Amino acid sequence: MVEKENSSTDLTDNLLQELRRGALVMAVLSQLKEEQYGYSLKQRLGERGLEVNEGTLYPLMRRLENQGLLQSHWEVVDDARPRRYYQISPEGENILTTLITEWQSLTEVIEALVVSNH
Amino acid sequence: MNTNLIGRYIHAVGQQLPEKMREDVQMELRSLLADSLEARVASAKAVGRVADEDLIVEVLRDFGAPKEVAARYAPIQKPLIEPALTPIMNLIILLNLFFIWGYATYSLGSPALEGDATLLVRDAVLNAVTSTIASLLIIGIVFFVMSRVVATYTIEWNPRALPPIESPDRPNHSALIGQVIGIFIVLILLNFFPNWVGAPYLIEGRWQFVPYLAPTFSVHLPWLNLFGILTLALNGIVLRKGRWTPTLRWVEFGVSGVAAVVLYRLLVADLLTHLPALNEFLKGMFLVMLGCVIVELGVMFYRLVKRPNKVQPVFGATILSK
Repeated sequence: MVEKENSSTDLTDNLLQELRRGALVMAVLSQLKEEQYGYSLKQRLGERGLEVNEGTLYPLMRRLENQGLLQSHWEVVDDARPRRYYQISPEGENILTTLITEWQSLTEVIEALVVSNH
Repeated sequence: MNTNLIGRYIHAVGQQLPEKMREDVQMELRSLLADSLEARVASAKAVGRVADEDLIVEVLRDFGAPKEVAARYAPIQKPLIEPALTPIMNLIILLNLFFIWGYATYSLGSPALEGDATLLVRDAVLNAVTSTIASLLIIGIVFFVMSRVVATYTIEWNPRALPPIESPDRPNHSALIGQVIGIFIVLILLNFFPNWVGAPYLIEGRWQFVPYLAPTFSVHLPWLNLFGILTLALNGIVLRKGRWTPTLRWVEFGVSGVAAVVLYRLLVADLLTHLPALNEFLKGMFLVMLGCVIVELGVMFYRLVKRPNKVQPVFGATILSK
């Protein structure tokens, strides 16, 4: 019984993770019109209600950069510590527009489906 | 207080990343961890909490286990064999190879062998290669199954248990001492008791000890002694100093060069042993060993001339004391 409960919790966690994964890419791209370094982006997302684990956010930023959706450069800030600043690339802007359009149409459909079933 | 936990964490993540991205990710992680720790220290001080090692542990826990973080940076396929099981698997493979190839050597040293030496060596090598492949497959399958079982146990990650950063200059004491003992025994045998180098065989219903070395083998002794004494001296100095210095690394390169000369001389020598099949087999072994030493020399030279790794400062203490 306990084992079944555990596997159900795991399944829920996995499904929630999958649901958030795609949305997180959109959230990150949307907040990088101005350049940000890793921690400032995490703070910014948190202030807007999206708490993201560092171990997830930072590798994601690098992955998006490798895919050409973000661009980055190193800069030495006041306390002489170098930081990597990220900003959305022109290609990232195009993809973000497509993602937002798809997201809006998808939420409308899903909302209608969920409401009609309740 | 262990403020180098962050350095050990960054090192642990880097160890699991491909080399081409390692330095860059480590540099970024260093900067990101510093930002997180700074924010954590500020929040702690605001509520009157002491800024101590616990804050570093909290930050590292939030980032996640090094293995998981590295996998997010560079998704890699699950290894066939769990890294924790690799040392014991390597030891079993080594013992296995020692027995298979030791037996091949022993069988070719039998005075009862008759026939063409080349054919006898070919058959012995084929048997040894077949046994090697079969045993490696079996060992591989066993450890693959064990790895799947081990992988199902998840242990909670503890930042305080991060392994220390091993310095590449720290010598492997047990390997060096093993080498010293081995070389000392071989030198004593070759110089003072050459007739003891051999093995017992059942000849005409009676066990008899058969010495392997031909009397002409003694012409190789000066080079073998030179290599042995240089290795003993080098290992002694490294053990005494407790670390490898750039000069000692160059000396090691030179000693390996002497090893290559010794192997080449043994390879082109007419007669190492009066047993023809064993003579051919040993030459084949020396050829393989010479190839390995040449590759090793290349690797050593590359490591000696390439840019040394930058030493990263420990910054955990600085941030905590701000």
